[in-house]
Amino acid sequence: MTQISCVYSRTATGRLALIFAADLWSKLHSAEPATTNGPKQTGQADSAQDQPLHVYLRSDPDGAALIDAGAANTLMATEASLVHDDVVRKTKLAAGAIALDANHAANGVIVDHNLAFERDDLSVLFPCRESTLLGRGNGPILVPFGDGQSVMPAAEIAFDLAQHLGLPVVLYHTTWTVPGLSTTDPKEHMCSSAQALLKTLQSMAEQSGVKCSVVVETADDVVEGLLHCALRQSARLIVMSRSAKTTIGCYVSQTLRKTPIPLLAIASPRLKAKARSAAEASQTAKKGGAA
Amino acid sequence: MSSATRTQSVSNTSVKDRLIAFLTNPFGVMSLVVLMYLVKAVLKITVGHQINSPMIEGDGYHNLADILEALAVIVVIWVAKRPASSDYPFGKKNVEFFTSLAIGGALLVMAVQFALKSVVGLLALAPSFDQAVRAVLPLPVHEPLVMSTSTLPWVLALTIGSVILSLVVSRYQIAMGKRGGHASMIADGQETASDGRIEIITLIGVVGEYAFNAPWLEYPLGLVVAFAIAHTGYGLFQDGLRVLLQHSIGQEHEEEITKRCLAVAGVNKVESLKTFQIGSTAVCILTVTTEHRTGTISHLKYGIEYHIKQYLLDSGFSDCELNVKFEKPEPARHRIAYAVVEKDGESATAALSFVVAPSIAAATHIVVCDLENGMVVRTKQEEKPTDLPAFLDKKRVVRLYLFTADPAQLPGSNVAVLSSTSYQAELLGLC
Repeated sequence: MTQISCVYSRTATGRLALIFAADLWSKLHSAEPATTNGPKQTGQADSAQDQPLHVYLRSDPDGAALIDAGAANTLMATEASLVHDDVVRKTKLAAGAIALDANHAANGVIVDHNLAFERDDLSVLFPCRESTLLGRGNGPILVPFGDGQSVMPAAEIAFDLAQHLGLPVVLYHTTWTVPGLSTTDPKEHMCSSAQALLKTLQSMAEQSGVKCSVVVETADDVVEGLLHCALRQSARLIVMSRSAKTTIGCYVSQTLRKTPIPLLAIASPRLKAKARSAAEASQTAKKGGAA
Repeated sequence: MSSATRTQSVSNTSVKDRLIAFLTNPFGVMSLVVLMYLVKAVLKITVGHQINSPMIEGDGYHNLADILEALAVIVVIWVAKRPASSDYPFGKKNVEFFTSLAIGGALLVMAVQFALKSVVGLLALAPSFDQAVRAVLPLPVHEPLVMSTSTLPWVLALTIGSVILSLVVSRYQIAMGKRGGHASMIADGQETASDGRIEIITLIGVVGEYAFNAPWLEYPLGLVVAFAIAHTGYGLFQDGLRVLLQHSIGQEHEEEITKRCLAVAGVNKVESLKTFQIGSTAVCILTVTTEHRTGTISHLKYGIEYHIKQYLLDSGFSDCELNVKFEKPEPARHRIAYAVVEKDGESATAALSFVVAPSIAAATHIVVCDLENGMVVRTKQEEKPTDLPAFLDKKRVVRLYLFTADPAQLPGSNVAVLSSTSYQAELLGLC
């Protein structure tokens, strides 16, 4: 199951992200997957042991040293304890269901307002102004796709979430019309690679037992088209993959700036690998410098 | 296929299309209604005159009045279909509801008359009681059904034909009226249906007298029908009045509209909702509270309008006019403060270089924060004053934060001293 984490910050948006993450975590850990035939999960307490809600608390030893150089570690421990209590109070989760981390999780989904705009190597769920995923009622997860394979990581996570939350998925595609083709059915205007991709996505939905519908249109603007479709369908989450190939005009970034619906931006495997190797190189350089 | 056959086929299609267009056009529908009343009037007046039945002849004249009413409906529909202008921005669709008002009123009068006739008929069955009542109330004279066996088939055929015509045409009229959003046509259809119901009671009376020797049968049934007609009339009258006086489209509709608005992601609250009806068009003026900015609001507007329109069209309105306004929520402005320790040797960037102090004694500065919607929108760093309670009071600070699990309260101050969960300015949104 997808790991859920968030970044601790005692701000209005930080509080919103924390509550959203806790709600999503609770839903994922108390719900039985729609297609599972095995024994039911025993709930929050058991699953918390395996996969708690990860809360990232940035450490600042220099700041602690400024207060009391001799007791920096104690101050940092006090901070961790206060933050843990604050998280328990705000999320109403069991203390054991929360794990404070000193680093961003490289895997899974991070619920945060800022990272979605700052980091394209992490999979970040931007909750907008919503405090829960399904607080306004159930609705589908929208997965926009183009003609490239970049949608696959998004589709995998979307179907996983849909399966665990018992939600349907709407696959959205907008295409340019083929000059000279008179048919008004937008599906006829899809290029062959997009049509092949649609078939793959539909078979993925079938395999995961998720109810899936398809919307194909010839929208004037991609971002507007997908947002309007999401609003028409009362979608509760949009899941989009970042593409390593796009340099200017990334649809994910454009949608992030305009969406009123929570958006999960999935990092592309290539961007993740690139960020990992950059981090490793920086670590090596630091070690070299220290030596 | 030969050219002639193709031409024939095209011509057949166009005749069929034109016929469908005529039968679905409000003027076409009302022309058929006029034709129906004309046929009924001619037959009833002729047969009534021939068999010397004032009841049937009178009903024929009533149908002549119905023709005038149908012609009035045609005029009203023509006026209602006139396009909107600068003087009439919503068009003149409401004129149709004057017809509803008039027909509703006429049906109420008709129901009272019919009920009275039925009561008089029932009283006639008990002459002594009838006399006693008449001594107190001025009731009309009872006119019993007088018909010979030779005229019975004519009366039966005419009444059955008239009932069938009334019921079929009224359904057609109501369906087409609803489809085109013409309240006057629906009202006229209801009136035709009421005519049909009265004719059914007449038929029952005739059959009751000749088949079962029970002419009284029509009177209790007449009362039931009078009630049904009164109910229809009251409904039409009330609908007309509500629209003309711009009554809301109904609490249940408003509750559902609010519910659907709140189901759209990004909507905090429906601050106000005003609804009314112009013709069959629902008008909604609503103010929605959202924290989103302009770039997102246009999409939010699309979502709200889509779902409200969908609901209103599904609820039978032919169209809707929506006016959605957006407002920011009340900012709930207030001030809080943090007691902080400034980092040494970084005076140039002092505003950004501090950590929250564990106690007031350890603090070097006080950071005063302006909050809006729970967010820090402005901070000002001041040197720690000698009289901290007076300073906090002057700055209207409501809470002071220290980085400690159990902070001591400030003596001589109403400001609450609370625990800050972190000492890091960045995590607290202070930089």
